[in-house]
Amino acid sequence: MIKRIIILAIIFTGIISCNEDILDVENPNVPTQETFWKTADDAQLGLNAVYSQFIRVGNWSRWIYFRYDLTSDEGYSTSPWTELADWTRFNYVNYDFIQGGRTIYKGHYKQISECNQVIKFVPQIKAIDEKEQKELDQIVAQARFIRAFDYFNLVVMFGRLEMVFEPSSAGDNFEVADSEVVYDSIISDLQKAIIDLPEEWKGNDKGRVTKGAAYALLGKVYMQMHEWQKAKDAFQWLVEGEGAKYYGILDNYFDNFTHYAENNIESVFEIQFSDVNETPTDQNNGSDIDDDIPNMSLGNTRSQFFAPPGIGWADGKVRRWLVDKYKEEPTVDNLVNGTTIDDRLRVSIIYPEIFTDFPGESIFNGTITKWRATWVSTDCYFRKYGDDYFKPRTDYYSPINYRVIRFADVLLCYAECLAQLNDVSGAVKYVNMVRTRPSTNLPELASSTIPEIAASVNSKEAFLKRLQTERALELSLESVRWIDLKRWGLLDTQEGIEELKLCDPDFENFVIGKHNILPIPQFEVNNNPNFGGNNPNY
Amino acid sequence: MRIKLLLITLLFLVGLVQAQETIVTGKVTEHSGEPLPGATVVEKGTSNGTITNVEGIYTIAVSGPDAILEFSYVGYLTEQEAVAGNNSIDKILLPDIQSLEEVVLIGYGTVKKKDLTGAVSVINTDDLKNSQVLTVGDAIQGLAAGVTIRSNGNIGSEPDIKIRGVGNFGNHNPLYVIDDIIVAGGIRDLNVNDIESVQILKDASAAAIYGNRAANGVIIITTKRGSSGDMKVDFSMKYGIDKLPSLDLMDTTEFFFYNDMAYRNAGLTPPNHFENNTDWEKEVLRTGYSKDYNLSISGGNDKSRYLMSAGYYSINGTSIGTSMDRISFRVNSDAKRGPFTIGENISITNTSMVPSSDGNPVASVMRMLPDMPVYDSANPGGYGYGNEARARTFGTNPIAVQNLVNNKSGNMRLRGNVFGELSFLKYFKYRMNVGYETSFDQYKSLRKVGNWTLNQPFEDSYIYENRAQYQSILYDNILSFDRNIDAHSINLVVGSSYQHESYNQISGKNSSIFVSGGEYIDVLNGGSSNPVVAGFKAEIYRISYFGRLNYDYQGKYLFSATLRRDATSQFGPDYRTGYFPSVSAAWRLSKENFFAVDWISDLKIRANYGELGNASFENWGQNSGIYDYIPSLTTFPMYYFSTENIVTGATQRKLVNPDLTWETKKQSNFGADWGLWGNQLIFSADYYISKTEDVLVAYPILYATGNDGGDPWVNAGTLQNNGFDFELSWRKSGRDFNYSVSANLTTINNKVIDLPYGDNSITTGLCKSEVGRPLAMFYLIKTDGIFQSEGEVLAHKNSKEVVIQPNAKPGDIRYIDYNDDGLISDEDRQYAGSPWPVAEVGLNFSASYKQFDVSVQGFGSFGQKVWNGTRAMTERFNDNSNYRKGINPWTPENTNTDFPRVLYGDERNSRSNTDRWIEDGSFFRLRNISLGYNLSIPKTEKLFDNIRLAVSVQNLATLTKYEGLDAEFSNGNVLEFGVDGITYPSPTSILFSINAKF
Repeated sequence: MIKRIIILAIIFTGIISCNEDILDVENPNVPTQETFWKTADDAQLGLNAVYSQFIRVGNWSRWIYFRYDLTSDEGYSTSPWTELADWTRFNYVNYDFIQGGRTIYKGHYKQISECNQVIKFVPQIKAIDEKEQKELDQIVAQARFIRAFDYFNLVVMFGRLEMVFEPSSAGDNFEVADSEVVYDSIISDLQKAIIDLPEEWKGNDKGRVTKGAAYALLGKVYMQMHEWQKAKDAFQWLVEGEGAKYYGILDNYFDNFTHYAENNIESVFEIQFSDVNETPTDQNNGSDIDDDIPNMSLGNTRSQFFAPPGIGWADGKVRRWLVDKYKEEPTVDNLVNGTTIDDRLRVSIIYPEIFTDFPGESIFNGTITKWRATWVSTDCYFRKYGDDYFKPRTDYYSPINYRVIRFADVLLCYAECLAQLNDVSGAVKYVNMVRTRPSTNLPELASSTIPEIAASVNSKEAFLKRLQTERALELSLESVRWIDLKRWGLLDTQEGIEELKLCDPDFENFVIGKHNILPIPQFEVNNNPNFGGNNPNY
Repeated sequence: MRIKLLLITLLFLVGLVQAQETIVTGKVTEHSGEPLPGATVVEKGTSNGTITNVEGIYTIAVSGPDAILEFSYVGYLTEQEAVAGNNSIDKILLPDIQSLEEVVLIGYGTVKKKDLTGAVSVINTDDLKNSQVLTVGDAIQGLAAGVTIRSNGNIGSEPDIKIRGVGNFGNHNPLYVIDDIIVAGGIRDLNVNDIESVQILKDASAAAIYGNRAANGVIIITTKRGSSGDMKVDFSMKYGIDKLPSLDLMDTTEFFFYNDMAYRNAGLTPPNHFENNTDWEKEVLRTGYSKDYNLSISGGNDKSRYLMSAGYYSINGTSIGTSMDRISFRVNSDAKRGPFTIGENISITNTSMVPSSDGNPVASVMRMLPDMPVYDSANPGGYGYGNEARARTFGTNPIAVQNLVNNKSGNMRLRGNVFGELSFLKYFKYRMNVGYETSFDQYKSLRKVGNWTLNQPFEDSYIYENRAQYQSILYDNILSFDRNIDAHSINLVVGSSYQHESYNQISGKNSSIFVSGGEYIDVLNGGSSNPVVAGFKAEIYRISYFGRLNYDYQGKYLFSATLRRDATSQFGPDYRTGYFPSVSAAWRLSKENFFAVDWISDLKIRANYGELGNASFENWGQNSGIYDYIPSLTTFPMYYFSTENIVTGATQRKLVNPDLTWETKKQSNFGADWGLWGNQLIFSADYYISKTEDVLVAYPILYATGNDGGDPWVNAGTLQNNGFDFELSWRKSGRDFNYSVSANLTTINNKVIDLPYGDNSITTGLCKSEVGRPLAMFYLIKTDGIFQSEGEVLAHKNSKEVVIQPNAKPGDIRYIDYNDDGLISDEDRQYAGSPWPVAEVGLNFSASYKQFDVSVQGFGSFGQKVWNGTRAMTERFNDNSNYRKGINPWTPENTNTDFPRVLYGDERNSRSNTDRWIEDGSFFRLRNISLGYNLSIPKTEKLFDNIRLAVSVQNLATLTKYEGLDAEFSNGNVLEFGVDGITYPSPTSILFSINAKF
């Protein structure tokens, strides 16, 4: 009996036992970190992913325009979605509002974390030759620029920030630093990036980060810190230095905002968009998780959100003062558009009298030739970066590259630095380069028919004040004004706020010392004790 | 037939031979008239006895005309009858639902109910039959203590089942074992008519045999098998009508009044309204219909049995355009020869469904303004929706969505097993079970051109289709040993189980669909732009070994121990293997000699401890979680440098925890069972305490980590649940009148012991989970009435004399500045109630009188708080939506109200994270009332054995103060489970059925 049981037990064990090697499975769908970051091709793929983050909704495909263009005195929102509109008028109730600061905060850190992977792992790749080593160095340098660019935008919007410079782990907690410390890290990244970045990219690689872009961003960072000399030195490379040969002003202002003339001499850095993939990616407004699907959309959704009612969501509108400012100063002659109205107005804004000011003007590919009955008679809508010049409607797939740094901007920045360093006459020259662009066709400052404008060349203070308007007109609705307002200190004094209120009644809600930055997403504050509470007065 | 004749002749002969004694013959049947073969008939007080044959007929020679016969059968109540000179005595035996002799499945084996040492609830067919249900969830609902089941009324939804509280943050659905096959969901596809019994293993000792998959409890379902006898045919038809509760929204006139008021209060000009009076509720929601046909054929002899069934079930959903239908077939059979038994269970179901394209049509109805038209030719696609000047809302027209987006899903599921059993060496039994399940899934979505909301962008038409296959192969080997030596009874089971599950999916999408004669060519070939293809796969391997020892001495001392070793490919090599032990013991006091209490027929006390695992955290989607311990890259990022240079990238988006492993639930259970007055009254009480450690959770991490693609899974946190389960049942049987009453009561105390990454608390939406408190407590800004005057606004100051709400006007809500910083912000949130019920109660009553039977089932849950999303939507006023009837807003003339001033486009009185919409969610619901009638069939008319007519009503009435649509809603997010975000409500249903057996 016992014997039989033992034999049975052996047989049974034979039947039931299994080789546990089958438990070692691999994910058949995707490569793993373990096998990646081994070759220059891997490095390039890693960097491509970093670039790809630019066109997500948390970066330059959607919400950032609400924070920059609508929060500033240029734009506003009357969206029926009250919370969305409230976030453009300093009325922040839920600090975790997905479409408010949260997706942007998260989206920028997503890109930063991908930069961190490149910056950490690519230097560990052994290059096969010097050429490849150079390529690897350039890859790291591009990632450094992008990381700096992200931190710059974050620090402008949120003030204090979590410092993340290594690939993250799930349980990480991060140091929280004041903006000065963040600025130092940005400068450090940019200085390193400048060493390895190429002066230009050719052919299909146009659109990558260049040395000039890094110098320009460095200059902007220093300006924000009021380090005028250092800022001027940085810009100098583009304006007067070795890089000057790559840059210039386009004859036609409009060419800066179409998909026909991208990565041109006026572009210092632009985010690349395309409509080749009309995949409904990241349309889900209820989530801050980006879609991860094949053939992702490569388009910008800004035009869909800002286009006039009946065509787009009309979540953003333009304040009237901009129209009036454009119309304040007549052009030299009427050869550009048949009138003496600054053509930049026609390119930038759809406003009630646009069809009479510019006879024959039509929008949305000729489908609209007069102010629509359903449009409010006092409204002004976004036209700059809209698709209306080639499409009868708009959608989530705008192909127009977004020029985040334009040479005209650099020239005006350079002028501001020079003036701050007391070289007003030197500065005037660069402002005039922008004003006398053929399609803009304004006289040189000193020759303006408006006496106050002409007089602005006579003193530093008057010039700097005039420069504020020059920037507003040249760079309207291009996501730089909020940064300018902060730099000019207009958000820090009651006087400044009073001035802004005249342009944008939303500033009635503005509390000095609070609303110059956004609230940190409350989730982050609750879960990272290093914040020790939200931003001041929130 | 020949055999039958022979048998009768034989019996007759026997009768003749023994003519000197009194011969009694007769037929033993069950209530329905079906014969009971193998029933025991004994002359009382003697050892003289016999059993009934396959026809239920017995013949017994008794000592004389005064003899008393005793009829018994396992699972039926024993009956006596005096012979009193009769030569023919037929007997109807009534099922003993509470029979302690009943055999209970406990996983890889069985045990008599009376010998249970763990907590197991058994629901048998009779309960199912009487309550007339259409789904498995409805079948189990309310019948077992400690088992909470919530189903929502949305078509095709799977039931949400919680057994003894919430032991983790995520998937709390139990493991299903259907006919020995461990299945991954798909309960929807099981034909409820095929169910024989449902057993719920609630505690660790009962469930430990399922190791790392058992922590949420195990539901074992067996399907019907044939029984020996002639072929039996069972046919049933059911027709149901479903009605949703009323939403009670305003009509146009009322709406204009309050809408204009909200604009004026905000200093705005009221809109130039549309001039319609659309009842969106009527347009979108409708009476649903369901029908269910089922035919089963069964039979067999003492060597083999078979059952075949076919079913058709279809529903027309309660929101427009939705429907589901299911065809199912089943074959169960087994055969015996000598020591061998072989058998199989095979089912095939084909389900197809047209779901609502609008994620939540009920919420959409609330958002549509009554003055908007359903159709508007001025809009692309021709449907009415918001308008900037006249009706400012982004509400989506549910009719437009349903008509412009046509979704259809379907799956064909084949589920079956083949088993063989060999008895040998007297005490041994070897069982091999091979199970296979596969599901072919398909999904199709056609997007037509047209809009459903204000300012919606143009979207090209497209077709998206996917095809997927799920497969599971299960291979069990079980050896058992069963021996009684004197008063010792030993049962030993050892075995192994191997399972391989896999899933793969391919999908395609094509846009700009060709339209011909107004019809879309709805195949992928019909499209001509932006084609996209995709595909992915995933698989899991599991290898397990297990053993269980049951020992009992004289039925007095019961002991059981189990151990399971599990290894799974879901985790890394160092974290994949685990051991799950349990021990339990029971002492039947009533069998002791010193125990001499007449009226206590049975008394048993039990105690047990066990450890269970849970690794069922993944799904089969693209980001399935199955490989979540492996740091992986995404290869989807793209960037456009030029037409010739569209690059793809690779990077790690989602962070992982490589040391991921299963969560472990450690549970102790103490209980006692009483049987009083001959087990007419049965009472069980259990106290349980369970702690889940290393809770598996996809836990939010800092945004600054840059993590994307969902929160990484982590093993962290500890949750504790403890509480009582009571079950009480009383049963009284008579010749014509029988009744039984049962009640169950459960209490759950939940506590967070610790949280992932060393966190002390996590705030999710409206709730907060903090160490030392129950999970998912409401965490909100508290309101303190309404300002009645400017003076009151100015008087509302913090300790530093700062006016807290300087922008408030009379009629606005006064919020409590909890952190005393002089302003109202997120940081003023505080605990504002618990979503946990104090007690949950189930009540069941059933009775039969002659041919009538009735059953009533009720369920109640008491003491929980609920955040009412319906009121939040229809009372907020900051954004346009329709409003709830009967609101009473504050105005300077109407100050005696708790409803604030209404304000459009202003969030002063519409913050959602306040306690304004917290309500007492207690309710008691009459879940099911059924009435049945069994037609009496004259014996001569043998066409039918039995015809039963029944009518039942589900959710007839709910006693509650809760003002939402359904007090019994379910929220799939455990961290916010008390938030009723306008869950699709359960309908009130009336169901007619006819059942014929012949």
